[in-house]
Formats: sequence, structure tokens, C-alpha cells
Amino acid sequence: MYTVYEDIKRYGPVLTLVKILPRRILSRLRVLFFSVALLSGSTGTVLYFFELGFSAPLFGICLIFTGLWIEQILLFSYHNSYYFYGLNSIIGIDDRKISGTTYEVAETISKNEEDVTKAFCTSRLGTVILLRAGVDSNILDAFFRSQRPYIKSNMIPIPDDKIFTMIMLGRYILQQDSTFALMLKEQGITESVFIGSLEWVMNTHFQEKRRERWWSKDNLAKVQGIGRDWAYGTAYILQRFSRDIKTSAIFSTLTQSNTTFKEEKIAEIEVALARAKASNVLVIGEAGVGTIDLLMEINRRMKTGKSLSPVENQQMILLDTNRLFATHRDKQSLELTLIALFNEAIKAGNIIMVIENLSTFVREAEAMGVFIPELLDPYLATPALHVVATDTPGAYHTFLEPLGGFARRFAEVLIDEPDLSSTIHVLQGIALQNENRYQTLFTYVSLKTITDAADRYIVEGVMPDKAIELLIDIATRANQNGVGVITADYVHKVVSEKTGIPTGPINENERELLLNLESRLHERVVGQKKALDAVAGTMRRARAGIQATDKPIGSFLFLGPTGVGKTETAKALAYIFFGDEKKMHRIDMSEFSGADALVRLIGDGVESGALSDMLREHPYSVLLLDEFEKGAKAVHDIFLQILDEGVFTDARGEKVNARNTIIIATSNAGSQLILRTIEQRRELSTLNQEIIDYIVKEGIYRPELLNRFDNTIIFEPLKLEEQGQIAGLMLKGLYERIRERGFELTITRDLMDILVEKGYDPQFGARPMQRVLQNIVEEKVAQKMISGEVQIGDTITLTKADFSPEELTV
Amino acid sequence: MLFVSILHHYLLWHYTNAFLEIFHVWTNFFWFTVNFFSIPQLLRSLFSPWKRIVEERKKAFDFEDIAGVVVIGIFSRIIGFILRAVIILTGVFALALLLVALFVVYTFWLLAPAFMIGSLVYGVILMFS
Repeated sequence: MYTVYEDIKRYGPVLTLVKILPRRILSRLRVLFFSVALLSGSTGTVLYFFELGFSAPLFGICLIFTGLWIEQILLFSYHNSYYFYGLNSIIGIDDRKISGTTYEVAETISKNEEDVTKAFCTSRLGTVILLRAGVDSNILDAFFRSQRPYIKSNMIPIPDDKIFTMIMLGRYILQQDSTFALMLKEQGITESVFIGSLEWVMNTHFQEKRRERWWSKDNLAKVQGIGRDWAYGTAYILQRFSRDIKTSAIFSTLTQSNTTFKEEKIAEIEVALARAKASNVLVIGEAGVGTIDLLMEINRRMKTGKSLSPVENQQMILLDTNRLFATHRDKQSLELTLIALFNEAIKAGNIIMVIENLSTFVREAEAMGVFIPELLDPYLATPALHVVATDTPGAYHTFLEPLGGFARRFAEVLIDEPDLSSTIHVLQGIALQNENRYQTLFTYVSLKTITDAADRYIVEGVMPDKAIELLIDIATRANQNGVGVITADYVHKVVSEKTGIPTGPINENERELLLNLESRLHERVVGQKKALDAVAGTMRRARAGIQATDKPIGSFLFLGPTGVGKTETAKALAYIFFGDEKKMHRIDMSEFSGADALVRLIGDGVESGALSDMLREHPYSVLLLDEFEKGAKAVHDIFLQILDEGVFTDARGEKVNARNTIIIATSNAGSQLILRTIEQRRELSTLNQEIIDYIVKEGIYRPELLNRFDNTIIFEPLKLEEQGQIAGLMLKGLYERIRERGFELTITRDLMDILVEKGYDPQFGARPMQRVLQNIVEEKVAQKMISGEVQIGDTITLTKADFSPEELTV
Repeated sequence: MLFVSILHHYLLWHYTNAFLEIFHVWTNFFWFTVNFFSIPQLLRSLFSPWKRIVEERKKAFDFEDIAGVVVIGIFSRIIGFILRAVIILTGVFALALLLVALFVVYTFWLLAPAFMIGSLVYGVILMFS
């Protein structure tokens, strides 16, 4: 077995050399020696020609420093030879199988061959890796001092078909050193976080090394050749109506991440452009996914001769449609310019015309009477000109697809939002760019948290754009607040501040709230113990993060007679979870029962719908769907999707997010059955299934819809004793209002009993009580105040004796 | 002892692997020169019109028109040929220089340790002469 111990021996002299003369010093000395040699040599020459003496010592100095300069060149080359060993293979530009360790591995392990874990953790790169992974330095010190088994360099085997890098060393330590793995685990650092940090730091390091090696083929390839476009014409008119493609790039970018996704999409676009017929491409992606960045990458490949040969030497020119429309006032002149522009581009022979937001271009031209699909058709049909257009999926479906033939002239390339792991890759680059500017350091977990939070809580925008915005926002705040290291906790804090939703680990206050959720709900809702217990349980599960993230926070179907606290529970949830009962928004589903229900709910492409508006304006709220059973079938169908996926697509083709919403549908369906059950004095819980079966049998709700709700909760009719509590709650509000007018109100027990008795109706719940209070108590107080019987500061005491029997009849 | 060990390792590298590595870097520069002067592309389009500047032919037969097309076409191609030839020749010259440079570098490399010691020793002598 060939081990690291044997392999790093060959690095020994080089490593000793850099201990004496570090690489940076080597590099600077070379420049210094050369400068001194040049200066002394030229001064000596001048003195020699003017016969001023002192030339010989200066020539002597020149020769000494020339000698030293040569020595530095030789040493630097010697060091380079080992320093860059295996780099081509690591960055994937050399397929040859080479074996052995990299310079970094040798540098790391040579420090402590008896304890490789410690050598790794205390090495230059290892320190950064552990910092990014979020390892506490005090715990690490304690770990070093502890009794533990050591990994020695002669225990680590080297594969014979690949280069052994720091990434492999890190993985090896994690697998073999169980005490190290345990130390990480105890700090909450998972394997994926450690490996993620390791790969982030090392890949950045490899890219730096790659840039340093200017003499390599991939760096030399960045220089553009001369005379390549001499065989092609110049498109003068197009130059007038074009702008630099970089002005549209967001640099957010798919292209910064080294993902197979990017490679696939580039290949897809290049293949489409290389087709013999109709070689046009329509890149469809939401604004912010970086479509133009992808095109820039292709443009760069074409310039450096890396693309497919049919599109080699082509250049992308972005059509400036704004300028085009601003400088043309009538249909004829616009048409003439467009025709001349396209003819010229064909003649030039190497132009790929880029049109951003194709549907907008088509519609704006249409407003001037120019029908673009007809005008451009001959140009799109010819292989002599390539057109690459971009558009959003929504605009594509609404405006371009109906044009039929026109859309078919383009090969469609769909750029989906990158998945979460690709987004983390993108963020790694962005984090490095921003760390210096904001004087902060991002841990790997913070990037992971930003990605998850952007995905779940930021409603507007698409990935990776919204994750990047969140990252920059966090970096700015951290800089202002003097936060040096950005951790997952800090990310949670900022996200909670931004959205008002508690995220991240549950804090003390919230723990209190969640554990006592039932009692908090009971403060506002009388009775309904079982129902409130069920709601509280579901909400706790949601907050603990056990529930799937691609659904609304919670979804409930509240069944039961009117006036028993269904709406009040929804308000209480809004108050508890979003801080204000006004965060409950109601849609009366009986208004959405007609044939146009769906259109009014999700819009018709021009006007937006009630539901889409509500969710866009109040993404963090409780959505109350009153009398849900009265909604049309199509409306129920859309809720099948919302409850299942937490999103739906509105009529404009735009996604609407309901994942930060608690959805509560209320329904009176089955309330007669519930009332009957209560009258028969049977236990309601045993009849839960019976009630659901009844609802399904009657066709009120389809079973698949019922199943989509997190919980179907049955509210019981109110009991007489509960009615007293409700009256008490309602009177609290009245007392408050009267106090504001400057009076105090007291209601005696005898009157109270009568009020409760009069207001009790199991069928209508608490509603009659409200009416009783209005018609009897409020009426009497008003009379007393108007007649001047009571003065400001007085206490109004109402007893049964104050009312005639007629007055007590509601 | 340490110095001797490094020197030994260094000299071994200097007279073995380094030669291969220099050659490898040289091939990079060779490839770069060919690409920078776009030699294959310019050879392929050696006689093409300069920037596609040609007269367009009208549909109807017209002697003057044909003459115009032919003259401008020939003129454009001659200009194109001259400019391309200049670049190609410059490129070939650069390649020749590169080839010479390889031999110069190898010679320098072979003698570099001696050069270094020589210039140090002679420099000290000159300084104190």
C-alpha cells in the first residue's frame, strides 16, 4: 500500500525551502533583484560612457544581482513545479490519470505526521475550512488536549488513479477519526456542512491557483485572436440600435456556479444555434434566473473558440429595442429600419441577434402597427442569421404561444430556477465578493440557511436572485451592526425581522407561546377544547419544522354550526402567529360560486384575481375561506393544488406563493348532523368519521379535497355555561368602549343570567348573544347617557329592575 | 546538511523534469501564437473579400453592373488577401522566433547554474577591483 507518508517525502526539500523563503517573498525578491540589477547596470553604463569612474563597482553590483535574480527564477520555477502539481487534473482540464498528493496535502501533513487531524485543523487552509464550517476554536483546543486516537500519515492510502487532494484528506479524517466527527456533531455541524465548507474553501483555492498560472493554456485562451472577423461584414445599422450585452446581465448568475446544469443549458443553446434550419433559440426563464448571464457565457466561449464549430467566431449583439422605438414615430420607418437591420446582419454573416423580452418587443411593435411575426419570418427561417430571444414563462404562454408558427421558429430552452444546492454554489461566489466590502465572514451554514429562507419566506422573485439579494441585505446589516461572522442564527434573525415570521431555532418566548398555545387560544375562544387542541398540535408541528416546506404553514377545515368560534379561532391564530388579528384576510366563498368564479379568483390575464392579489399583498397571514362549500368546483380544484403544493399559477402565468399562509376554510356543512348528535347526548369525537362520511356522501366536498387539509376540525355547538363566558368576553369590549366615553358600567348577576338565557341558541351559537347585548344593554346605556341621567365619571349600574318585561324581549 | 539536501533535490529536478516542463509551457505558447494570429482561420479565408465589402448585382443584365461587381470584388479580395497575408506572415515569424526561443531557453537552462555562480563571482571581483 502506497501511503501519504511515502508520497510527501518528495515535497520535503521544497517545503523546507518555503519555510526559509515563503512563496510570496520569493516572488518579491525576484522583482527586487531584477530592479537593482537593471538600475545599477544602466547607471554603470552611463558612468562608463562619460568616463566618470565608479562604473566597475556598479557593474559588479549589477552582476551580483543578476546572479541573484537568476537564482530566484530557478527557485521560483522549482517551487512552481511542485506547487501546481495535479492542478489540471483537479480542475478538469486534463484527463490523464495521475497519482500522488497535492502540494497542500504535503504542506499540511508535514507539520505533524503523527497526528494528521491536528495537522489538518491547524493548517493554513484547514483553519479557514473550520471557520467556514462554524467550529468553535475553544472546543477545538479542548479537543486537541483530550485523549484520542491519532491518525498517522502512514495509515492514509493513496489511490493510484487520482490525485489526493485536501478534499479527500478532509473526507478521510471525517470517516476515520470518530472523535473528530463526534466533536463536530456535538457542535451541530453535520457531515454535509463540513464537506460543503471543505469543498467551498478548496475550490476557491484551486481557482486562485488557476489564475496565478498565467502561462497555462486555459489562461492564454482568454486572449482574443486578431483578424477573426475580417471574413465577416460590419452591421452598421445594428450597431446604432444595439447595446452591450453586459448591461442586461445581473451577474447573479448561473454561470458562477460550476454546475452540470449550466453546462447542459449551454450545450442545449449551442446545439440549437448550430442547427441547419431555423437556428433560433428562445430562452425561457423567470426574471432573475440569469438568462442573459448564460448568453454572455456562450458569447465568451464563442470568442475564445470553445464553442461548437458552426457557431464559432459568431458574436452576440443585443438589440436595443427601447432606442428602436424611441427613434421611430411611424410604422413605415420602423419597418424599413428593421428590414435593413436584419438584411445587414445576414450580410455580416457572424451575428447572433439577441432580443430581450421578445413578447414585449412584439407587443410594442404591434402598438405602432408593425406585426413582427410576419416581418421577421423570412429572417427566422434562414440559417444565415441566428436570433436568440429571452422571455418569461408567463409572457411566453400568454403572448407568444398563441402566435403558433412564430413561436415554432424558435427552439425553446427552459431555464428552471436552480435547485437549492446550485443556489448554494452561486452564493459561495457572491459571499466571497461581498466579504471584503462588508468586512464580514459567511459560514457555510449561513449560506445554506439563506438559501432555505429565500426559498421558503421570500415570496417575490426567483432563485438565485432572491437568495443573492437576501445575502447582500444580511451582509449590509451585519456590517452596520458590527457582526463579524455571519452565522445561521443571524440569518434567522434578519429573516424574522424582514418577514415577521419566526424562523430558526425556537427561542424562549416562542417556546412559551407554543407550549401554551391551547391556553392562549382559549383566552379568545370559549369552549371547543378538542378543536383548539387539534389546531395547537398542528401548529406546533409546523413550527418545529417537521412538516413539509412546500405546503402552507397550516391548513384546516373548520366544520360546525354558525357562531361557535370558527372565525374567532382564525383571528386568534393571526394574532398569535403574525402579531395582529388584522393579519387575517377573509374571502367569502359564496361569492365564488358562479361560472366566472375561477376568473374572479385568479384573474383572466389582464385583471388580477382576488386570491392572487390577497396572497401577493399579504403573504404572511391567515387566509379565511368562509363558507368554503359554496365555492364552485373549479375553485375547489385550485385549492387542491394550493393545499398540496403551497403555490398556484395565476391566469398571467405567474406563480403565487401560499407557503407562508395559514389557510382556514370554514363550513356549516354537516352542522345539522352535529346538532342532532349533541341533542342525542352522544360523544362528538366518536362521530368524527361519521360526519366526514356524511359530507362526502352528500357530495359537499370530495374526499381528495378533505384529505388535503392538515386537519378537519369539528366545532361543537355551545353549551349554556359557555354562553356565560362568551357574554363576559363580549361585555369586556363594551366596558372598554363605555370607559372611553368617561363612564363605568356594572351589570348585576340577576340581569346577567337573563341575558345569557335570552342569548342562548345552540343552532346559532354566540350570534344571538351579540344581538341581545346590543338591543338590551347598549340600548339602555345609550338612553341613560342621552337623557343626562348619568354624568361623566359616574358608574352605570344595570340590574334586572331597570328593565320592563317588554324591554327584555328581543 | 539541509542546504546540500535541497541542492541535490534541486539539481536533480533542474536537469530532468524541468526540461519536460519547459517544453510543456512552450507548447502552450506555440498554441497561443497560432491562435492569436488566427492562422488557420485566416488561411481558410485568405482570398475572401475584405469585411464582405462587395457590390450587389442587379437582376437585369447590365455590362457596367457586372464590371462594377467584378472590379470591387477583386479589389476587396486583394485588400483582404494583403491584410491576412501580413498577419499570417507575422504569425509565422512569431512562431519561428518561438522556436529559436526554445533553443535559447534550453541553452540558458543548461548553463543557468554556471551563469549564476559566474556572475556572482565576477560581480564580487568587479566590485572590489
